Amino acid sequence: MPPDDPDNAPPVSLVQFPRWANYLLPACVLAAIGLGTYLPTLAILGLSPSTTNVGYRPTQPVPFDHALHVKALGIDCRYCHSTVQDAAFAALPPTQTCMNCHAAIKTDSPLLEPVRRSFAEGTPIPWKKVHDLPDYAYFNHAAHLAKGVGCASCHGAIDDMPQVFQSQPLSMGWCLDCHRQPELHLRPRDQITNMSWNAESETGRVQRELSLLLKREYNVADDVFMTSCSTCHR
Amino acid sequence: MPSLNPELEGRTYWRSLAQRAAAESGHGCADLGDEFAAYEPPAAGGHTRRQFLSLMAAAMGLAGLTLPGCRRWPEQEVLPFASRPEGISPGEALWYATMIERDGVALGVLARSYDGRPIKLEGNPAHPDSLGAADALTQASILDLYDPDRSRAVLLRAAGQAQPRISSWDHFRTDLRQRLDALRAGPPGSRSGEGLVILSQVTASPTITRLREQFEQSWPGAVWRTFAPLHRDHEVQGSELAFGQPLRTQLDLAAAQVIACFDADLLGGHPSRQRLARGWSAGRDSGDQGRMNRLYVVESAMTLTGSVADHRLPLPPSQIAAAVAQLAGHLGVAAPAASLSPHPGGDRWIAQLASDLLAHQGQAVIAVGPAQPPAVHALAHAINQRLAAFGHAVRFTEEPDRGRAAPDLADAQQRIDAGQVHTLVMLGGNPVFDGGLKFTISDTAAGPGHVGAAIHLGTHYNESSAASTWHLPQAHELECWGDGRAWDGTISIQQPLILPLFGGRSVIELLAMLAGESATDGRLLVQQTLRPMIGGVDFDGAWRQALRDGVVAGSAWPTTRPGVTRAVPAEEFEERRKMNEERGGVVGSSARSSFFVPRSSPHVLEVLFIADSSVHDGRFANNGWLQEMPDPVTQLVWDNAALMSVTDTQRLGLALGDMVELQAGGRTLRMPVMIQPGVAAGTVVLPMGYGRRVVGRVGLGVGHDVYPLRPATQPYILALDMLRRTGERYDLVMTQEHHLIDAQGFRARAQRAGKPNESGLLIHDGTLDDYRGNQDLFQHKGHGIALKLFDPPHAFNEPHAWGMAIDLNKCIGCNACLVACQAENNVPIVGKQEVARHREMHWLRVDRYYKGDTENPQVVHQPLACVHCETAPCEQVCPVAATVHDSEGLNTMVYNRCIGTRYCSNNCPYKVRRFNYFDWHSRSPRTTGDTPPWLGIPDRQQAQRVDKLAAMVFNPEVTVRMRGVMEKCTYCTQRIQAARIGAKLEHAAGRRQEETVRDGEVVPACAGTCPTQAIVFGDLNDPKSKVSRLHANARAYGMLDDLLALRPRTQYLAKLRHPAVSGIKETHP
Repeated sequence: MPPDDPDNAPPVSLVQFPRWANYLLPACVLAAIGLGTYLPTLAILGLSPSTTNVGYRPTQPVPFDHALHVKALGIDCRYCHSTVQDAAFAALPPTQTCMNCHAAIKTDSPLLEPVRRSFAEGTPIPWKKVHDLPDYAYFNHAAHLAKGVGCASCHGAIDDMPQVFQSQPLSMGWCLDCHRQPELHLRPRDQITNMSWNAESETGRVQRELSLLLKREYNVADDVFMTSCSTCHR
Repeated sequence: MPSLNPELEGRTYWRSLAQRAAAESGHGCADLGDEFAAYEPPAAGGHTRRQFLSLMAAAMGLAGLTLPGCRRWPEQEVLPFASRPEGISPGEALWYATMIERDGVALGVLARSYDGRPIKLEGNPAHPDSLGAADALTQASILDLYDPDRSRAVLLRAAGQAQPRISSWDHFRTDLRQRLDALRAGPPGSRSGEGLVILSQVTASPTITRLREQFEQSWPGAVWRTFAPLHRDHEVQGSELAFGQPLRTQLDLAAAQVIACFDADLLGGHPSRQRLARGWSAGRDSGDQGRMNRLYVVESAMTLTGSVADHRLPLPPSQIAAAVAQLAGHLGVAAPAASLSPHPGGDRWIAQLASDLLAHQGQAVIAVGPAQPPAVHALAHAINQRLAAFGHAVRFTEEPDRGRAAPDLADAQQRIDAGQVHTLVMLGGNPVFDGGLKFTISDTAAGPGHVGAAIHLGTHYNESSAASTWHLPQAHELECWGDGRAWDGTISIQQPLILPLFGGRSVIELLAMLAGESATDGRLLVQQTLRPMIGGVDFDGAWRQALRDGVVAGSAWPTTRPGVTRAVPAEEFEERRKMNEERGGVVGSSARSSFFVPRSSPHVLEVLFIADSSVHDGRFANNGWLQEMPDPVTQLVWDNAALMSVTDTQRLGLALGDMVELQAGGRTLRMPVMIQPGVAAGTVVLPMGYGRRVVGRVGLGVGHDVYPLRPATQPYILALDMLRRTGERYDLVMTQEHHLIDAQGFRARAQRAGKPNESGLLIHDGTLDDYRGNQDLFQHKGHGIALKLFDPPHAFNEPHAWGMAIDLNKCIGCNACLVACQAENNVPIVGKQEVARHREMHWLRVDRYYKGDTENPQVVHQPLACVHCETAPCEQVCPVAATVHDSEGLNTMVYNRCIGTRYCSNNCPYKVRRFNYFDWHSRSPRTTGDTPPWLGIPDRQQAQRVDKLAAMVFNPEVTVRMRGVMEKCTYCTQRIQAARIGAKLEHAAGRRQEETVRDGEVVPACAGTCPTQAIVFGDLNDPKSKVSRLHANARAYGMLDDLLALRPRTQYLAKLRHPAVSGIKETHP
């Protein structure tokens, strides 16, 4: 038989699996079981409060008590955080603001020693940052306030916090919850600093109904715009 | 040259000679299609790709196991003011009007500052030399403020010591007092101050002028000399020749219909270039109405002005004078007889120019560049007078520059050589490097070449500092008070935005110290000067107004209208003629083969020294942005080279990157050669400022120093004795073949380009006459079918539809947009080695295309950034949806989603996406070898490794990208957001009717700084917006849109050329 005769060539199996392929199936099963535990664990740990930092409550150089100043004394948020309606950043007050009152009140309290020193020396008080967004996310306080988002929606009940902590996850998913359905959170602009605001008790309307009115009144954009990447990332 | 492939003729453009050669041979170019050129796995730390991948897989598995434990939010502090100044809102930008002086001319800028940290310079619309634009050098000078290599302390180098020691201002002040006391006493019979030499830079600052007068009065024996390497001596002396007094020429190109430049780079090299470019572009703007100015350029190098000329005649530098003389002859202006006989066609060219100029009397102007001798300038004045340009396109004002930079430096050197200098004070600058100043320090009696002490004030420790006794850190322009005058004399005040970072002092503060004044407060010094000059009764009010506006209104010099009083001396021309004759003996021969003389003959080649587009005269050598900015014409980065014509290099057998030795007057120089289409045959163009020996880490030893070849007597033009190939090779890195849009379809392009005299694939262009006859000239469809792959999910127009228009007819390729984008968007630099691997990061590049003859090609500059296609191909291939559209048509890039597959870049037809191979910001651009810092956790690495000072220039409104992510133009989305939020807040406060952004409220960095306003951005929803009107223009086209149906939001407007109707043969010989 001539070797190059194509008609008489021995039949060749089209598919020839190597021997190690026999182990492929058990390997896949093992991998599936592994991934089945790995991925949920990853998801649970990744989304857990300890990862998103909810409850982060650093010790501040001065034990400033929001509960006392806001709830008991009734000082409006904007007395100290004065740039919140005009700027991206709700500026921490300069020491001067503290001294407006504390030049006369509790002038010898040892707790206020860092404040007095800061004012005398002109050096800043090194506050610990509590609400910290990633650097690629650009949050603008003024823009949110102009659309009727209250302080408490993100910061929680500050007036019940002797020591401020992070009450919300501040994760992207959490941001988008509101950007997709702002109607769950809007309130009249004159109520933004109201810590205990409740739609029904104050206006007699349910939150969703009121918010839909406000959404139109304040020209709140629809979710196509609100969930665009460039809305928050630059 | 062999003729082109006929199918590629017509309006076919080429980027480089290699590309053109490939087109001719019919083969694709080997390196051209390679987007990720020379990607070498060794960069991954010596592992093979497979090893690396398996290591990465294992590492990721382990990382997953320890995920919750390894990431904690970094603890950050917030530091509020102890007492916040009024009007300051933390995190909000503030704008200040100030100025930066360069070459004796103040450029008005608006500086943007965040929390006391200036981060960006823009042009000041109120300033006559800015008109809202800032050139590339000005944009980049903010980087010098935060240069980690800046001079940080007073340094004292005692005689005999090699290295300086750190000293203090107090010590310097004490030492200075002793020196001045010794000078005041002096030897018997001498005048007070004899032996004191001040060497300052050319300046028009009123305060420095005032202090100089004071100084000269109190130190009558002292000598004040002024020097700048890029001086305009010839120009000033030329006006003296013509008018009997130095006068400054004020050109108004908007008033000219015919402009002729003789070796004058008005748009790219003139101190008042922004204003001139605006004037020129005003004459192009009317192209749609069927009128346009016409630009003639005679030049030796290929300059920006030459690149946008309607007619260009390349001539070697020595023949420019003959060309002007010949033109004068045609116009009936008395001038020596001259001929361009060695250049067939040259005579006809000039004759055509003359008749065009005569036809436009009163609307025609000629300009001559600073390299040409004074007599040529004088002749040009006479010609302009003949053309009735005086009072229209040409006006004259007083000239603060004394036009004596070269003799001044020579005089200083002479005094040093004679041993007469007790104390030498250098007020800024770097005369040891760029002027060849030589001196030795000796404590004892000064001998020849010795000075008692040299004091150098400079922002950086440079060659002059190293030679001096004292080096004093100079304050950056943004750190100190000062003043200056625009080209037309308008006074600007320079106000500081930040305290001196390293205790630097300004020139005026040092001068006050020299005068022995106790108060050396810069602000008081400037106020003292300006008090009699501005304001009258209410000085404080006028001062505040001037600070706010950035200019003192009405302070420009009054214009005069002199007549040319003197005849032009013939000797100047005689000298040129002789030089030509020497070459003419051979060159004049008609046989083509002997057009170029054999190498051994003398005076064959002439050198033209030009300012480098990146480092200027060398002062920006340590500026990474400028080093990496491709030269607009050569596209060379991180280097200079001897630029030679194609014919010369062919004749001499030189290839790109060959090292040559140049000899002139006994001086030699070794340089790599670059073949530059458009350079006149017989010319070697040498850009100055490279090869710095004492400079920071960025600029040290980059490029080749050409100053040693430059004699003080012939500062710009020089006959070369010899040019010889050394046999060595040198790597020149150019971006001109990077990111080729049509690399893949290179061979198919011959068909795509269609018949001759149609627009090319990427560039649409035509002549004004054709366009007048056919408004549809630039509108044609490639496929002829409406290609539609899918229905777009959205119209991308809510609430705005952003778009851009770039007018190729107005772009001059000046690179200002490129640097503005870099500054605005925290774009890193990568270094020469990485640019060679096509890894440069510029979001916006300015492509430069040639067409036609290699000796004198037509040029188009095309700025190209992401065009934001509505059907973006990049989005369809991203596996993680890291690049998606937003509701307004921006193709957004989400850094935190990107996993670095680079599929998007592969699929981008325009090649505008850039990948962070490394953490560029934390890596020195001069790193050689593969030792990148990339083993840290990526998002912490920057905080740990980026220099704290260098990080201060970052724009806080833009994310600083980490390694491993893709990035690209965002249409300056941060500026869109700022305008949008601003509008919303005003609306909420009841100060504004509508909540949407108005036309003109969003200006991206590139558009804002464009000197010719070629880039326009705005809302396509608004039919009345500027950009909508431009998109509706008959010249508008979407690049590649007819082939790929990408619906790009950036549209280009076709380039119009305006050749004379009778036509001039552009090519020669």
